[in-house]
Formats: sequence, C-alpha cells, structure tokens
Amino acid sequence: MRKVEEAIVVVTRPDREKVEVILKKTGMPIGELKCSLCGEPITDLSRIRAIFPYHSALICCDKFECLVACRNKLISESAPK
Amino acid sequence: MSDLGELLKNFFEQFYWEIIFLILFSLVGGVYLFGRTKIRRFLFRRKIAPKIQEIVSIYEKEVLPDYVEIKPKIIVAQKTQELPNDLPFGYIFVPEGQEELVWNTLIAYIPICCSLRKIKLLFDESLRKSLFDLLSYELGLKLNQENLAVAYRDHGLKTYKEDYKVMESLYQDKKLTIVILLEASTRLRKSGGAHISASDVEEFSTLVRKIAQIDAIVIRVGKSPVRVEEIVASGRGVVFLARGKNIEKAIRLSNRLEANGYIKLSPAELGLPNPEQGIWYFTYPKVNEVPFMRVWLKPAINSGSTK
Repeated sequence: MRKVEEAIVVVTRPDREKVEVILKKTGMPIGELKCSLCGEPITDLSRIRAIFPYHSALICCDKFECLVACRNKLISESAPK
Repeated sequence: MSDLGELLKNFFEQFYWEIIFLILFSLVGGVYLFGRTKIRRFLFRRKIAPKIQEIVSIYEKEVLPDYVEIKPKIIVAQKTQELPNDLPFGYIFVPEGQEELVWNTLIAYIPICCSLRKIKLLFDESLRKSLFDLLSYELGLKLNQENLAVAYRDHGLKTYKEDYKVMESLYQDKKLTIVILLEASTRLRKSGGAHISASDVEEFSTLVRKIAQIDAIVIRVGKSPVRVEEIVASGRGVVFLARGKNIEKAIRLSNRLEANGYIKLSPAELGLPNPEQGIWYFTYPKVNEVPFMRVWLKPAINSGSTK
C-alpha cells in the first residue's frame, strides 16, 4: 500500500515579527530582506510572497519571474524533500 | 441602610440612560481591545482557508485526477506562536486586504507541494519544468484565473517550446496520468528507492517524448459504452485502460478492434509491454489498489502513425 505523505504549507500574514522568526528557524541571518531570485530588497513586506526552507531559505517576491524561478529551484534534483 | 437604598434608587433613576450607554460602551471597548486579534484571525481564516481548500480540491480532482502522491496540509497561522516548530515545506504570505494576490502564488506552488515530489526526478530538467508549467496553466484555467494561467503557458512556450508541447499533447490525450505518471511510479517502486542515474532520466525522458508522438486517444473502459465503430471511423490509435472487473471488457473490445483491422503496437515500438497488466494504486478518495490492464492498438494500414 502506498503511503500518502503530507506536505505542510503555512499560510500567514507578512508581519515583520513572523518573517524574522521564520528566517531564524531556517538559519538565515535576518539582515536586509531581499528576494533570493532577483536580489531586490523587500523593505515593503507586502511584496514578500513565500519563504521555502531550501538549503537555508529561499525568499520570493511578487514578480512572476521570481515565482517561476523559485518553483524551478524547488523542483530541481537537489531540492530537499 | 434604607437611606442608602433610596439614594442608589434615585441615582439609577436619574442617570438611567447614561448608565446603559456606559455599560454598552465598556462592552464594545472590551470586545475591541481584547477581541480584535481574534476577530482579525477569524476573518483571515475565513477568507483564506476555504480558498486554499478549494484550490487543492480542484487540483486533486480536476487537474491531476488518479495521481495524488501527497496531500498538502495547510496551516493558517495568524499569530507568530501558531507557526509550527518543525520546518514545513514552505510559508506563503498573504498581505492584509490584498487576498486576491495569493492566487498567483498558489497557482505556482500548489502543484509542486501536492504531487510528483518523487517521480518528477525521472524527468529531465526541460520536461520537468514544462510539466509544472502545464499543471499551473491547467490549475489557473480551472480556477477561472485565465490571465495568470496564460502566463505559465507563455513561459513554457517561450523557454522550452518543444517539451511544453510534448506535455500539452500528453495531457490533452489523457496519457499523462494513465501512461506517463503511472510508468514513472512503477519504475520508482521497482528501483526500491535506489539512486536514479542520469541514464535512467535520459531513457525515461526519451520514452515520454516518444509516447507523445504516438497518435492515440486514451479510453477508460468502465460503465460508459465504448463504440468500436466510432474508433475505427476516427482512424486514430487507441489506448484502453481498464481496472478491476473491467479488464475482461477491455480484452473483448481489443479483440473486436483487432477483428476490424487494428493491431497491437509492438513493445519495441512502444517502449512498454503491450498489453500491460499490473496494480493501480489509488490514494483518492481512499488508499486502495486494484489490478489494471493497458493495451495500445493502432490501425494496421496506418502502422507508422505519429502526430
């Protein structure tokens, strides 16, 4: 019988306190918040769309290109389960 | 004592409405001060949770039916303390008052956290990315978010045109679930979790591209009647898929087609056993397994038929 696994996805508001806690959990220094894909600073937290624990943390802003690039990193062979 | 009672009575009579307003004001103030977080939390959950459940449900039932490897567990966390201690697959942010913006994020990420997390490794990079672009496109369409959906199709066609077309063709002919994903799943199970080599990926990806080129429609044999005459008239190849008790019916249909000028594709031509029998693993709506059979046939006259 194949086991049905579960992927946990947390949906939340982009408050500074929460983002800092999440980055701390992923082991990433808080510092200046930047999109991991395009490198643009995300000072306005309403532009942050996702954080994935990929290596340390993969931070994604609201640009379509960044969403796709982030997804592509996650489906690459080296991505953790 | 009676003086005090009289005094209080006079006081309440004199300031009756003021006292009522003061109590109401205190109640409203108390609710605002101590309940606003709970109200915001309630509204957040009410706005977001059903939307996400709807998306996941549409994805599982309409975009990729028959193949759900992973059920995402969505945690809607309003407070910092509600964040899980263990690292989840990911965190998705929804800005307050901009809930509509979450669609694009979910269309991009729901397919990758719902399914194919293991079997995707059998596809080469270009096919893998095309596959997820296609799934995001289909999910966007099913959610009536056409503008977002076409962005994924455009991206696929611009970046890896041929492989996107391969995936599109497989999906439209219903070969993606019934042939490709099932085959990938079988291969992974047979490998027993062993490392997938570059040759495995190359061989499987070649097979995927080849199957997309074979002109055949997939027909699930079940309660609905299958008209052999219509298949013959169409002149296209056909793949019969039958599960459980319907296997006998598929064998009869296959024999009737062979009596009407169809032949089975050779395993060498197909790259798969033909007919193939095995176990079909269901995970939705409940985990179950049944025997299945898949058989490919093509018109004998048009034996080299490809798209």
